[in-house]
Amino acid sequence: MPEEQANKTIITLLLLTMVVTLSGTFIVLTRLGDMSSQGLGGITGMAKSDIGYAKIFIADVLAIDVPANNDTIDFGNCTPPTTTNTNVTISSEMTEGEVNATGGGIGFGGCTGSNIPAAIVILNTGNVPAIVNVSTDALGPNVMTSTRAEIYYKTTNGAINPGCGGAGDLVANWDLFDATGTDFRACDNLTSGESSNTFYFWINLTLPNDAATTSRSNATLTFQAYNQP
Amino acid sequence: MKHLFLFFCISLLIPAVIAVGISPPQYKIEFKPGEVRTFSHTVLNSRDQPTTVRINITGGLAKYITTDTETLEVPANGAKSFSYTWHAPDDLTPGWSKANIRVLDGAAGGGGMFGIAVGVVGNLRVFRPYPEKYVEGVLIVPSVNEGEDVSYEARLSSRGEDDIEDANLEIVFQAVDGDKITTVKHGNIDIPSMEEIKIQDVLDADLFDSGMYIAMAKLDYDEVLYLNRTFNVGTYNVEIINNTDTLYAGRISPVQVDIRNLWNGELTDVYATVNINGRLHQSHEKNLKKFAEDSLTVFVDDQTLILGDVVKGTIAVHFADKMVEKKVSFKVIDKPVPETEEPETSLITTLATSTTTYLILAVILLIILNIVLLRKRK
Repeated sequence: MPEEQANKTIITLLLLTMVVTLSGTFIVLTRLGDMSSQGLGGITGMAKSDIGYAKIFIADVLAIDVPANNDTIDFGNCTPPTTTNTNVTISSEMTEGEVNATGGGIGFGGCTGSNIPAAIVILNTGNVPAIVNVSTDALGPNVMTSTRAEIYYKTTNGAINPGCGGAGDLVANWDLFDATGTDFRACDNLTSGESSNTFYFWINLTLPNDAATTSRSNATLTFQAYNQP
Repeated sequence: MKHLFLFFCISLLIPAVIAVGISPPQYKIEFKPGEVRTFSHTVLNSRDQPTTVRINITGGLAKYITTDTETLEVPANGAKSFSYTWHAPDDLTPGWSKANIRVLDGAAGGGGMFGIAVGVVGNLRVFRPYPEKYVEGVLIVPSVNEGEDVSYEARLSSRGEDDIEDANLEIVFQAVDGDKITTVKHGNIDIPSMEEIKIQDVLDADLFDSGMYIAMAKLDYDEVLYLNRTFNVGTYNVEIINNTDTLYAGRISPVQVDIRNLWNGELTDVYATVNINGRLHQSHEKNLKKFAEDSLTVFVDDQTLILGDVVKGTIAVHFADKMVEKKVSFKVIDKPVPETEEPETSLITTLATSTTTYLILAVILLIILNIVLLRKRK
């Protein structure tokens, strides 16, 4: 009989243990639910929020590019006028074979260029707007060895992805390079973004009849992008 | 003839992009006498080959800056950093001063008369407070639509050495035609030196009908600062500003309709129609950004118009489910001849065409004659 009694006790204790364990589990899980709703889920390892956040810092970049194949204006071989004290005007806007009305040169302004019209293409490849200036280290008389030789430039918006603000931000009329090492404005507001980041740079040369036939020197045109204040 | 074999060529020896970048492009700091501080920039090279850039520091603050880096080798499609040190003097001119940090791509050089170099110019900007009291500010009043409250914000920055104490701000809101709407006042404003505060509030929508307004602020802090800002209260409508008032007799006539969006939001698929003699002519569709002006062109093809008549019609502008109408009178005129039109060219073209026709006819006639002759031989 005691043996039977002991078995009953053991079974009772076992059932009691199961009840306590299950009740405890239920209570703990309920409390965990309450804690997470109070924002304390973190201490249990639960996510505090339904939304996850990732932070990224994108730095400002000021950058300009002159793409390959858009860095050349090739006027070819040029024939100056033969009349004393006359000049011929050669513009990169002219077309191959175009005769200059004012110059007296042969072909387009006396030159045999093959890829005219052509402009230097300047792109803003950064992520902030830029002010772009251009400078030269040599003037017309140095480059073409004649006191009457001149180098002019102007800028227009890109036919594709135009990015130089409004008309007032460009140099619409031919402007003379009359000083070396000086910043000349090219575009006052070149925006960034792939669809609006481009402007064109055109060249115009005044080639006098007394330009030297063999000697010439090089000039470097430097395009510099400034951060907008 | 003297030949000048100048190879007028603007080109690079290297057939690749010329490119350079700098990050960050600018540092802005406040002046602290005697401060020694180091700044760094990263130079970016997006070319497919390494490049050497030259670094040059110029400008009014250049004499207070030292760097060991005059050139920098930047790897292909890579970046490299350099730094410089700012040694603040004991004093500086009030306001902003700066030094330019020039980074020039060393790839200058050309295959002909010109070479190209590119550069980027970063800068260090240092602000030295103005003597005594000085405030700079901006007034912000966003445009709204009718029925919406008008919010405003005045951002006031004390840029002087002395604190601003007990200043008063008064903002007058009025229509651009001069009708005063309301005046708001904010008193006891304190702005510590070199700090910025924002004064914000909201005005009830009932005060404003649709139209253009101006907010004019006056800050009194021993000195006086004036600020102003225009803003619109929009209405869901389009205004016809102007239109063509002539039509061509016996020709297609373009009628230009200038319009303005009066809504503080974009209107899509806006088009115009012109109704003349019961016939409707329609323009293409356009989207109109908020408060923007644009033009629509309607081509009127009415062969019944008689020169010298005045024809009554209606111009309508359609958007969403709305329509704005304007009654107009069109004077029927002869189409002006463009200045560039050259009748001589047309004559030459006509003659050339006739000659070609005659030649073709002659050839056909000769072939027929040949066939007839051959048959006769047989």
